[in-house]
Amino acid sequence: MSELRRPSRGTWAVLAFPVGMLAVFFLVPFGIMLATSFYHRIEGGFYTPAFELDSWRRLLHGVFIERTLFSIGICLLAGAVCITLAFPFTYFLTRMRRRPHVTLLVLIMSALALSEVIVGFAWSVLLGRAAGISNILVWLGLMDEPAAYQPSFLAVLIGLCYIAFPYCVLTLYPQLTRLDPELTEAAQTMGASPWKTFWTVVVPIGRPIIVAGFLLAFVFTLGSYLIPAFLGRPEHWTLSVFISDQATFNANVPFAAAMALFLTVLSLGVVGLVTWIEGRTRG
Amino acid sequence: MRVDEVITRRELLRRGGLAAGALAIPGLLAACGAEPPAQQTGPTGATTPPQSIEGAKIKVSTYGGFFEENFAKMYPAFTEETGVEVESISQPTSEAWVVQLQQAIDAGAPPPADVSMLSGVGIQRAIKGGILATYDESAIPQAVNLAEGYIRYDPEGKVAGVGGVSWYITLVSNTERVPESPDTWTTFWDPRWRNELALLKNAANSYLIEITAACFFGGYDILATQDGVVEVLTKLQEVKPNVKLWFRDEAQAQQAYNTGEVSIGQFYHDITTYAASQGEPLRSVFPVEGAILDSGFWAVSKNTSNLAACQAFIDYMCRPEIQAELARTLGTTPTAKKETMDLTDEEYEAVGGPGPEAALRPKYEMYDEWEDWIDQRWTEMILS
Repeated sequence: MSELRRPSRGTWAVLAFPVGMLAVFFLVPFGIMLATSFYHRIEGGFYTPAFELDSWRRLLHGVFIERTLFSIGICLLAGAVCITLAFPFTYFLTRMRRRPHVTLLVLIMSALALSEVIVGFAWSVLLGRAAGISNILVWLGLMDEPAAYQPSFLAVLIGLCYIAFPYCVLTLYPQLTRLDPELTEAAQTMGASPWKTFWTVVVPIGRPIIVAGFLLAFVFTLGSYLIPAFLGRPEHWTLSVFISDQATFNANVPFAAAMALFLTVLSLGVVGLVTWIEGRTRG
Repeated sequence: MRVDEVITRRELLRRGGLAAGALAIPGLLAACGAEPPAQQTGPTGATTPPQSIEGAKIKVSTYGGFFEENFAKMYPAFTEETGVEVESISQPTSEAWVVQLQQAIDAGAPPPADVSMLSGVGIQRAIKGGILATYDESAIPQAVNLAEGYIRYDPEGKVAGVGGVSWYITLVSNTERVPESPDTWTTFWDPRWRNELALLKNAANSYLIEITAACFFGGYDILATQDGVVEVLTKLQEVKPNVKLWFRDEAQAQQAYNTGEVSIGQFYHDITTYAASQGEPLRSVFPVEGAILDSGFWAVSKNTSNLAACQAFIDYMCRPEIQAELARTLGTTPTAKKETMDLTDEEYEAVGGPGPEAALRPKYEMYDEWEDWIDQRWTEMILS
């Protein structure tokens, strides 16, 4: 057991760079955004520095609150779906022989090379009427005519899960690789089925990384705006879509900044709440 | 000894059948992305225009895709005549482009383009934001060829934008899904198009408020008050169940129209006729109530270092022969007066339908005055 030591001068020197980068590239832009959210909006123009609450007032009453709740809801759901699929997938992946193990891992990681635009477009074609999967069902004689499955809530959810899934696997992978095989072996030697072993031994051990992977998927999908914009109807657009539209098309940067800050604070709140519940209920 | 035991036990368990779940493996797709606009290499800051423009280099941006490709074909002749080198770059829709211009100019960085093409709403924002170079009308002698309304002034009466091209937003349909096209905007309200329409997503580039007012309220008078606009939006709300795609950019809608993902909707006449000429199953129809006529104005960024070269370029693009050439190659509506050009009646009708007199004009001043109020009501409408 090593004792916790007071950080030495060397430790501070090593920490200085990342802390400095965090300050410059996160806190400073965050501060600028906070200031901008109070700027005066010139209708039909841009904005000027001022201290006004107009953007916050517009945000806090009306459809944008409802959009925020919807965004948090769908992203929590996407996070839950992702982790439910990714945990057993990663566990069994780490138990595979080397060759299929590496091949699958490389394929999963290669999905990270795709931009959100490509993913959104590909899914809109796959779920579309013109060249989508329903054409295969028609060809097989299971359907009379091709149908469109997008835009829809399910299409947005699938798209969000698709982009977040590899990140979930990446989060789970290191710890599940290091999981001592003797633990599961002991359970199975004592008569537990593979499923029971997974459920009663692996899952409880992996709880902290399950929560971490879930939160990562939640935060990651919350920032996605192309997937909901491509695959959803307006009622499926998340707040990120509206933030992007306000900043890009309406030149209303103060309002976009207010919405972005609001979303950041709320998502941090959700992350804090989930972490707190996880800590409280840990056995 | 102990190691052997472990190995044996593992082998036993493996034979017992540890199942591995496999998920569908995502296919690899080729990735491609829009090229960011190249950075200006010249000096920054507005300066007194040089006496000679020969050897100057300017960047001109127009909407990306076939629009920009065809415009770029016009530039070598200009370079030959004036010695001004033109670099053609692609810009996104002007609402988005004007924000990028403003951010670059406010940050003191070189503008992404010296001359940009801005729509009616875009140039209004640019003038209000003070990001454009303004000048006397005498700098563009060829502007006399332009039809009325194609010069935009700043509040001091200086020129801020010169009409480079016009375009119509018409009723566009996929010929395979719609054997015979309707000829009225009111078809958008017909329940037979449930989940089949494509409409522009923003109030200030779809002009659906103007279309609704013209179709159901006898004209734009109702748009004089906010109560009137609310009434129009309530009528427009009835269209919502029919809309499958609220599109932000042309590429998204183009794909949906070509493949028949959507059957009918609003789109650009020039792009549609060009795509149809390339064999796509599309048609464009001028509705009886009038197609929407919007224009692209040449606007010069405030901190360009080559104002005189920019003015020479804009002047060149105002020439009737250039305007006629653009109509023939690009299918856009000329901004020059009809009588100044050598276009036949047939050629003119192909790009301009029944002409600008029969067109619906965007009510720009409404967006200028009530932009955020309209945006809020519009958002509530499409979310309802």
